[in-house]
Amino acid sequence: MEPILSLSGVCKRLGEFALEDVGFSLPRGSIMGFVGPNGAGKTTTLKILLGLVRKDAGEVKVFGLDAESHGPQIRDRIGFVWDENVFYEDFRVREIGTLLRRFYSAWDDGEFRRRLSQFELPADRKVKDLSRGMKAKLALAAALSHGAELIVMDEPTSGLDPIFRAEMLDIVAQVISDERRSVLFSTHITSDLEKIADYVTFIHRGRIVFSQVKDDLLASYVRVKGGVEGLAAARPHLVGVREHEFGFEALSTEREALRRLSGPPLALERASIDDILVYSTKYARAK
Amino acid sequence: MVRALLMKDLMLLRYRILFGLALSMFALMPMRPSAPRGMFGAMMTHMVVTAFLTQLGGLEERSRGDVLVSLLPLGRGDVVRARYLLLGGLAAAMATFYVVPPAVLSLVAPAPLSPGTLATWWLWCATLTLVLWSMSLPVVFRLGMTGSQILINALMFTPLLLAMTASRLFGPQIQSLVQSGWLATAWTALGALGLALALAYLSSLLSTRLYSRRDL
Repeated sequence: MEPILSLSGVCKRLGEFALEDVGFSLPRGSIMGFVGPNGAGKTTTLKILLGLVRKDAGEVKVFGLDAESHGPQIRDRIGFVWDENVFYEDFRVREIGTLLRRFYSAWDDGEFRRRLSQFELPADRKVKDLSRGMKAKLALAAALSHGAELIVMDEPTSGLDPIFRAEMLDIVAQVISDERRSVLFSTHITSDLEKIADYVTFIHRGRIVFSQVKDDLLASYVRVKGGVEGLAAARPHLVGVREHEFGFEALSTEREALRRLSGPPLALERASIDDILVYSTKYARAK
Repeated sequence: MVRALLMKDLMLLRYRILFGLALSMFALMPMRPSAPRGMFGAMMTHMVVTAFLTQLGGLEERSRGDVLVSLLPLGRGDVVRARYLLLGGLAAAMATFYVVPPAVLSLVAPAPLSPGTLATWWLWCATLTLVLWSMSLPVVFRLGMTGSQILINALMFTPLLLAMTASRLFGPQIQSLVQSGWLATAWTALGALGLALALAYLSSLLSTRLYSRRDL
């Protein structure tokens, strides 16, 4: 089946920063976590696929359409939840529906009212009087009320308390239950991804480090702990290593090779997405 | 889509338009049916439209409306066209507003205003606003509202300079034109409005070009 979105060889220079050869694809009915440190190029990549920033090279297809030349048609089928509120602060919640109804071809007033009720959003309250979490829910209610097939979320859970975050994640998981919708979820909070993502794409300094199925990713890495005396033998098998006074902590993809090493035993643990990101970048070994 | 954007702008400005109209009533007080003050009305029209458009920019900036608009299913041309239509609509509405009360007053005055005088006045009001904003909107579309504040505020006072310069340089000619009859004056003003519309059209093409190349 054709992926809902695909990028290949995308390049964009913005002053000192550049996206280089960015490529990944998202199958229908799945959630992709898009992660990377601040300034890695996440928002620029999202803007390119929404047709807001013009790429210098490469190809971006959303719903099989070229993102640059079919921007309005594509955005008609995309819902967005941005890192900050983008709705007019002086409008009441129900007026947001009145406003958006004019723009989306498949807007459904009944669905909007149902979602407001489901998310416990007061229709008569002004947007500026909503909490941060409620504003994120409002964006999600709007995204779901025009039959969006792809929902793009840029840091939707940042600044939310754990209860709101858990609630948002539950809603996002429900959103894709019909196998028709997909979610591209940019975040710093990798624990959120461990809960809901099917795929993880990691971008660092404008380049894609990896883009793969989350379970395969987690299965392919192992977190290693050992004493100072074990480091020399283990070092060739490590992706990244952090040395400290009593020994080292590291990340590896060579679980069996590490087990076969003679010398002091090493502790091998399940790596988290956080470990993979940190050791692949900050503590990465020069090859 | 352009209509939807216009409705959005009007929804945003709704209370401000009412407030602006109420304030504008004070500007009408010194007018008399016999002295409609064409340039004064044109300046007020320009300033009220400037106030509305600046307010709109401020409201959008405060709510990150530029991000919302960029995420909606709109072409960039729609955004440009909607803003020019709003400008034209406001200019026409405000010009009408400055013409209607003196016209009504003139019904009970001993020397009623002629339709030509009113038409001429209306044309001057709309023309000046269209010309001045046509000069600034391409900058707004290139730099955004924030980067354009200085220019817009400078343009607020341009009509005053224009009026002073015009009366110094062309005072006698304008006087003789007005005295030669309302028809000639109206035709001249109509020509000026035509030129203003042409300028606004060219300006919108330039804005579309600048805005379509801009990363949002």
